[in-house]
Amino acid sequence: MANDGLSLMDRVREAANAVPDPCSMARNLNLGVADMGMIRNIRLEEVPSGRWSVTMLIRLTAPGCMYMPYFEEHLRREVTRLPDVDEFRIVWDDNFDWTPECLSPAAKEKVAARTRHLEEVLRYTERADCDAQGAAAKPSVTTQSKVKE
Amino acid sequence: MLDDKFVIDAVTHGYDYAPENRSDHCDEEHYRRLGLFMTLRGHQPLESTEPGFAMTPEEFIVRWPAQSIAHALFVESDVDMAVYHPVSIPAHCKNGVSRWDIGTALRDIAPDRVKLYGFVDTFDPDRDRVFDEMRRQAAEGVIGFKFYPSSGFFDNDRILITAKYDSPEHAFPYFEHARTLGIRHLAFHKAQPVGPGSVDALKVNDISTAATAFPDMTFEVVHDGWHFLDECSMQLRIVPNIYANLECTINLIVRQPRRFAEILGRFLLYAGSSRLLYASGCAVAHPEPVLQAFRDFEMPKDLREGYGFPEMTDEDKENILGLNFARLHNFDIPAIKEKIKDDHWSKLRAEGKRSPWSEHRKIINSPDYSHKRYKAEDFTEEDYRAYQFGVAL
Repeated sequence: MANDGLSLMDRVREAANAVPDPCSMARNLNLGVADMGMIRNIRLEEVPSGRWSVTMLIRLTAPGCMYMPYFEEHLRREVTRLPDVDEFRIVWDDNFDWTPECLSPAAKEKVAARTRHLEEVLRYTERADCDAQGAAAKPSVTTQSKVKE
Repeated sequence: MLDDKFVIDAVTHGYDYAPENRSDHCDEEHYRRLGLFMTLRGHQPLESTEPGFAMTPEEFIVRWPAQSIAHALFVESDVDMAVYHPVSIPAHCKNGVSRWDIGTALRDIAPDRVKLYGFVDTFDPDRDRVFDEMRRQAAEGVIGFKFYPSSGFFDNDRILITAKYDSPEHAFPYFEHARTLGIRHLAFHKAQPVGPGSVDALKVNDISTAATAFPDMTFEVVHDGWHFLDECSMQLRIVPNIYANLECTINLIVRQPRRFAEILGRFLLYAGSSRLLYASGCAVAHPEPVLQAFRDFEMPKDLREGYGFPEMTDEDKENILGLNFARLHNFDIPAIKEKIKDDHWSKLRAEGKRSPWSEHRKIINSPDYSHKRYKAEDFTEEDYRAYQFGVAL
């Protein structure tokens, strides 16, 4: 992979983001581990070869997640592809404090756009149902406004 | 009662990952690690960090005595009634991950407080045998049936075998059979992984189809909102005979309160509180911290102002804690209160709330406890390495 001016830390993060979170894939969102806010910390240590050992502290989005072997295998594969990286290790965070607010700004916008789209479909469906039944429209729902960061 | 609110715990389980319950399909090492997974990644992260709540693997991976569960619910916390869900998963456990016989034992020691759901193994190719089993459970007085998206088996390509419940050919006959038995309440494990495989079967859309096809029946989506919150909340708004069973989802209030607020806020915004059901999943976690946190819960101001989430009212809390489940099953709460007010459990509870899992620890450490247990030295370093969480970097 070309070194295009990014620091090693940035390149490690970028490599990790190539690994999609399975639950986001199931929602057709295809968000990477970094965009999901699952990387709590990355530690880089120089090893005798002059290259680097990467330790990644990963927070899962929920207890009971069964995809740890998936994350381990795919993160290892992506990160050790970097020419500067010799070793890779995951440490699993036991805080379980992930919330949707941990998403990157780009991921938040992707999620919000999906929600907006689904709410539009919902409004259209409910309006059509009410028209067909001659009923008064239900109050529509919207979660579009943004929570202050 | 939590203050003056009647509490019905809509899901409890009597786990059995003890050595004697290992299925022949599951090798010893895998089985031992499953128990460890349930403890370290299921129980402990959901559990309060206050002293006494988190159990060690040697305490959690046992055949759970019904007495332990009854104490946790009715003596160590403010639960008035509970619903027992058996779980089959024959790939792992001979007699169920959550055993049927622990449920009947729980019902027998607290008959006015415990109701049973039956289990339906839709993965058994012999449908007549499944129907017979449903009939047998109906004769035992079950008030609902529980369905799973997997029985834990993999196909020849090592893909987890899963099921969805929107097929007129493969799923609807079970619902029709339940109806002929006079049982119109069905519950479905969703949104939470049941094995390392596709998450497709954990999505909730199939339940919308099923519930629309059976408008005279009710469909609980268990673990609702844990994942797929958009779909879960929209489904709840659109399909009136779907209920959100909050097993484990509501437990997030203890360790991930912000995440819980975002889930609950969405449900309240979309569908109000009349189809939300409190469920702790005890013994996966103790009900007491969940109930205490729920009593004190307020929707955060920034979520109300930012997302338009409604305030959480006292009426909402009363609905979620028990009234919704009571209405769903036509329970007569005043009559039940009268029956249980002086029962064995009320008398014990009147002596004061006991410390968490105190009865469980007493029973399993007693010389009279006859079931084989894992000891700390049975778990290898490699077992732990596979499932250990780390320290902060």
